Amino acid sequence: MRSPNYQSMLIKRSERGFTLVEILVVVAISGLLMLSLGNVIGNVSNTQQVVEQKTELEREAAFAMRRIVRVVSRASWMTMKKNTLTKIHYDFRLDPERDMDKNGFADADDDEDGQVDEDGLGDMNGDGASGVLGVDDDGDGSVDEGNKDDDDEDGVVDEDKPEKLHLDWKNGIFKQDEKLSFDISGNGTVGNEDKLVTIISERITSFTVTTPTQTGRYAIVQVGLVLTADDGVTTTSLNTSIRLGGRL
Amino acid sequence: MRKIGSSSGFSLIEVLIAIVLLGITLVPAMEALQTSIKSSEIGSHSLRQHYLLFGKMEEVLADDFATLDAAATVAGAYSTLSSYSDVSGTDPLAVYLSRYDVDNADADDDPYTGVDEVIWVRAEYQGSPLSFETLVLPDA
Repeated sequence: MRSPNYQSMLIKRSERGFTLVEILVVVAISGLLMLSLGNVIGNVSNTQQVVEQKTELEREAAFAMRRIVRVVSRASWMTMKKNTLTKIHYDFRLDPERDMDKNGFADADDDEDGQVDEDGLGDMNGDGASGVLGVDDDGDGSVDEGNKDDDDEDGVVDEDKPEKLHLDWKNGIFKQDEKLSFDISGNGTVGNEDKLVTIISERITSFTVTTPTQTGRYAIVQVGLVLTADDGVTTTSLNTSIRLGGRL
Repeated sequence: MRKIGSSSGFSLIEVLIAIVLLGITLVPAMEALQTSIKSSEIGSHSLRQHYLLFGKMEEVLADDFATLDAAATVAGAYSTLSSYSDVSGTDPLAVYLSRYDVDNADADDDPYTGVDEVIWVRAEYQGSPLSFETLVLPDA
């Protein structure tokens, strides 16, 4: 049994509280600790942001490069429309066997006669005559009859348009524009509105594509990309070479 | 009496030990952070290296069979660097070429003896696990 005197002394001591000096020391130490911890947390947060930005940029660069590799390696030819430091536009002729609408005929065979692109746009061989100059291409006894742009001499002009895809880069935006040979718009006819436009990247700040050069079996195209993040500082670059039509 | 002692606050030694412990626990946290930054950089390098190596392989495969065959003959062995290699720069790309035994007609299970008219190509980024391998048939 404790005496009443001891109990009152205990209450007095426990209710005495901290002195000003103790509080100041505690606040100062806590402040120092919080300051260093705050710096660490701030650094972690910044680093996380930078790493996330870089990772996102690399994902976008890889996606863009994969698209380019896919298009170049499956194209039978490519035509440069524009190639400057700020703008690039190329047309690619797609795989002639491609049948996206699954109708049993290649998409490039618009007249569905089993021949692909035999009556493309204009006078394909540039001889100024329908079919081949001086040849009875359709075996009807007449030579070079009809329009010079009727390359298969069947009486219809340009009915077998080549399947093309466009890669276009300007103002940092890189997109793929693909005309389709079937009625995707659902308006009953196949026309310019039947196309697929895909934005591939909006952060490409430098883009180089070399003219295809051929020394062996395939022509080689060299491609270089630089992507810059929204902060204007973080960048990533990819370079590679691709065989034109190497996957056909 | 003991209760009074326990509410008397921390001694300097206790505070110092607490700070040291806190510091010790922060070290592995910072190391983990550094590791994550490094792995992000490694991933970034791998992507760049992947496309450089892919490009090298494409350049090799763009050549015709006779050219590759001649380069394989000059190299002499499947483990010798071929003339397509470029290992002097900051991105060391090694290319190995050899005729290849596809049908194993000599039954020795060695793909580099009793070879057929097929070329084996291996491209690797030296110092990394990245590599591509393929077989090339004569031109059609």
